[in-house]
Amino acid sequence: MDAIIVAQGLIAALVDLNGNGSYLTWGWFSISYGNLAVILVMVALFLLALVVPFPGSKDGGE
Amino acid sequence: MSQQRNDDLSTQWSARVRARAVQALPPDKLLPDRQPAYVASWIYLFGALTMTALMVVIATGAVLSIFGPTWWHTSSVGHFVNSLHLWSVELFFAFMVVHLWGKFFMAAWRGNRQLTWITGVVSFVASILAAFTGYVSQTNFDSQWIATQAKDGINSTGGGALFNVLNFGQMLMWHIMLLPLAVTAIVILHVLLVRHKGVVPPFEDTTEPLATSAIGSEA
Repeated sequence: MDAIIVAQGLIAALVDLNGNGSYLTWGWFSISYGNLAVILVMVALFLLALVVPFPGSKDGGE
Repeated sequence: MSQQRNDDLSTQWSARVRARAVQALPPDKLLPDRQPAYVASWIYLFGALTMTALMVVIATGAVLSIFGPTWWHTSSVGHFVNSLHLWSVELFFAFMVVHLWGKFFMAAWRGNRQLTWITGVVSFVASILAAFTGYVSQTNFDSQWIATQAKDGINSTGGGALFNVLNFGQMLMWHIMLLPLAVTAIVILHVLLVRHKGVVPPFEDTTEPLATSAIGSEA
């Protein structure tokens, strides 16, 4: 139970879901850091899926 | 089976439907145990991941329907199932968009697969509607904020009287009845079309998908 409370505290310290959202603003372009992080993770997942060899494939996933 | 019996069966609409279905999707095509060698890439997994997330969405949504809003707002198990429902939706959309990127850059509509592409697009749009009606059915301040903001937007399209986002009962019914049926039906059609037409081959591979060298049961 203590471990759960510590883990919750660590996550809450990293990502404050109670306060106002933080936004990246660049001229007319504006995006929350949360949405930006999700999009970057999806792009990373897409690129990794293209280059990481698939187990069992003869030629390294090509 | 005698010729007379065959003739009798051919007059029945159900027999004709079955014959056409088996012809379009014979069992080895409907549930194949081998796939073309080019399917051995992580990018081909995202369609199956999307469907897996959808199954979790539907299963957790069914549990939420059984116990209702008081349960998911006040009990720890209710909070947990509610969170599973939310995060499986987040994963569903993330996997679906990566699947979309992969298929877009493969030009997966090639080889007479236009309908497969179009059913994918329609399921994406239906999923956005399903997610939206879910966000306004949370019965919390967040859902009130989303509904009141969306009301102006939908009024501006002229559809605000028919699709009233401030009508909680209507939104909930769309979310738990109409849209799940629509998304599930379109996804099933999408998967059957993938089975029927085969997985789209890479650009350089001009051979028929199922005629190339095959890999094992998992693809």
